[in-house]
Amino acid sequence: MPVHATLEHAFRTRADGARAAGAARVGVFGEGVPLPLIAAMGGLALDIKAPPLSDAADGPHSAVVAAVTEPFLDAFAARFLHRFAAGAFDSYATLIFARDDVAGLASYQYALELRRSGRLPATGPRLYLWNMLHSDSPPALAFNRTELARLSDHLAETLGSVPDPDKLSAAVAGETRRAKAVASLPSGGAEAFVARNAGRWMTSEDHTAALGPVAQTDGPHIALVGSACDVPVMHDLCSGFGQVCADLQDYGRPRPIAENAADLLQSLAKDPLAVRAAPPDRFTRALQSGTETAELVVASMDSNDDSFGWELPILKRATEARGARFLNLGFRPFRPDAAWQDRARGRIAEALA
Amino acid sequence: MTCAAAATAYQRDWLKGLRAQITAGTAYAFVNADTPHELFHFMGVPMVTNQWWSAVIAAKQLAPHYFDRMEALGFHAHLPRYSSLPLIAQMEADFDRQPWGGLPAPAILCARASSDEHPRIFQRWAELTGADLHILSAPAVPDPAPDWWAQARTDWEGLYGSARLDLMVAEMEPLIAALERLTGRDFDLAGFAAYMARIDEQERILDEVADKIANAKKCPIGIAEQMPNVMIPQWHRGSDWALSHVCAFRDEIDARIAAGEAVCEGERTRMMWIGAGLWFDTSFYRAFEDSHGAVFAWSMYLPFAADGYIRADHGDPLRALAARVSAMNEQLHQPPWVNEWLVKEAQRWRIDVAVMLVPEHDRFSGYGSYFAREALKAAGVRVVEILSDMVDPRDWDRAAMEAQVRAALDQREAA
Repeated sequence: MPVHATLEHAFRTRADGARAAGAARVGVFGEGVPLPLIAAMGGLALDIKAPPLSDAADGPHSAVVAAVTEPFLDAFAARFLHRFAAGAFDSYATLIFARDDVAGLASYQYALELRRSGRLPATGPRLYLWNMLHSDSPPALAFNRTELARLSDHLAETLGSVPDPDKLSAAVAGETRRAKAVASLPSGGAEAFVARNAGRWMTSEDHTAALGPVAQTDGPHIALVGSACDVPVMHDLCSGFGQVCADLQDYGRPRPIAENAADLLQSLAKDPLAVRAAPPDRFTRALQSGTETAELVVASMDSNDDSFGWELPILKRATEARGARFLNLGFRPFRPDAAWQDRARGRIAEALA
Repeated sequence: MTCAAAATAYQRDWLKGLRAQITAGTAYAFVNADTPHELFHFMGVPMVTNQWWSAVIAAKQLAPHYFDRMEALGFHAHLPRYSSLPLIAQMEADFDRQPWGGLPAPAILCARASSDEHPRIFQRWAELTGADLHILSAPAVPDPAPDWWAQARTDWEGLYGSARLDLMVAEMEPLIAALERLTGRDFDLAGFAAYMARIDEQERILDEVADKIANAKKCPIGIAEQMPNVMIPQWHRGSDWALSHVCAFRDEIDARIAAGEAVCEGERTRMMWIGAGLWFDTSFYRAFEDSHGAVFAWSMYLPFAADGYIRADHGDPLRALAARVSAMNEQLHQPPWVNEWLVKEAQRWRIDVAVMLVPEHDRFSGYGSYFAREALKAAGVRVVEILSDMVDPRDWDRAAMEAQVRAALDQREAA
């Protein structure tokens, strides 16, 4: 069943194609930001980490940015910065960067410094660092409370709004309805991937309304693990061989959401698949439990990965210990070409043979 | 004997003692460089620093073996290297190969989540050894003041942020409790305040030394000799020996300057080495003195002793320690802190050429390098960028690296 045209358009054009309908645009880089707070204060949260699909072919290139970005800078960060320099976010009120995202801190610091040093004009959206800790220790909870108050103040100042408990409850309810609708999608397949992620550039109401049934493929269960992948390439590669029963990569998994208006950060801070989840064995355990029904676990990662790679041997051992197979495809290009995809497809076929 | 030789001899004896203690089964801590070492020192818990141990392994030319082993174990080849070498050695468990015959299991592990890999590496250590793991959170400073060093010594509350400092202090408390349990001693806050004051005194003396070298007509001591004089007392910071040593170091520098001694009589160019030490090939630092009169006068270790460590306690030594630790590594690597600090230091030391180690596999250290490069160039410093690694010699081509630096020095002389 084809993905609803609205969803496909939102997914393809991303932040560039989003309609704000009078709401202030608020860019969000990385997971873990309490989106209902933004909605309740009159903002439209839009993912700014994943560039439009056309960016790979005709995205802007800024010599100013190129001069200060190392060749090994995270690709999401690099593409964000080139787009930032080109004015892609000039109409935004603020850009919020999650410190715990693998590319969030560098993107924030580089953007801030490009402006401070005068390399880019200091006009355009405000830049804001969201420091929430992915931990529920008492010191972390206390710190997170101050961070939430700081974010609330920032949004109030930037959007000219005041926190309203009723609006916040309504926004949380909307986000929860969206999450339920997303959860009803199959975990695998390119169509479900597109349908799930399109909501990053839509209101919760529009997204929920546009979601419809998507067919799940069948066959052996395959789990995908690795670093963030914002295109359904891994799902495409697996189609024909089996069904993706779990995609634990950022953009592959459903977004963690704020579920409780009275304690917005409760579920976000406990997200075990955040790369900086503390203590770190939560991530290790979540990877293992999230892949335990798979007959094949397929790992692929960004070549600048600092985090996930430390899990590879232990996950491989755990997978093989329960009689399943583990396939490490190695480094996955930001936008994998046909040759890489052909090799990967062959290795998946071989692993399942 | 020079102060450097004295420091090296002291460290050798001390390490023998540490090794004897550890191999005899004394409980010890294995910690990252940017953690509050002061707590371990003060509580009398022997400590091995991950990055130091990594440098020891690298200096024994063992890094290639372990990095090959790392891939054989299933880790990918682009993971950070500086902090991972000891873990891989421990995983291999061939202790005869390692310096000291390897390390026994530590009692406590401590890392700060300043970069994404550190919690994971230490989690793997905890699984391997069963040691008690303490990870300190590292939220970033949202509004980093470019001239951080101007505020860091006394006005640090606003610089680093009260919430971040509250967090660090709250996370140090369980660590202190663990050290109390381990040693059977109570943490004496008044005694700790006195200890912290001695550290500040030590760092102020090193600040004086830095000023003297920076202002000397010709550089009286190169970085290879500076490093033991700074790093070994830093390792023992606040101890009677460390204070006595830095005083002797200051006197030696005074005497050298008064006598007109210079590392290179024909000094024409002052250089700075940016990045961690090149632990497997430290003779590189002197390779350009004869040919170009070029002296490596600056490395981060001496100036950072003052800017990175002096913190007025304002009646709360634990909070002052949190201020010292909560952005320690970040100040050396993240914009705008690193670029502004390097420009300030280059001007203070009259630097002509900077050689910048850019470790692409240690992205926490590698990020921010190009902002630093551009800022130094704008300040009139010629920059040579070396894409390599501080502990992995596999991609290190000494001849090619020397040629790169020589070319820059030739250009400078021709200009």
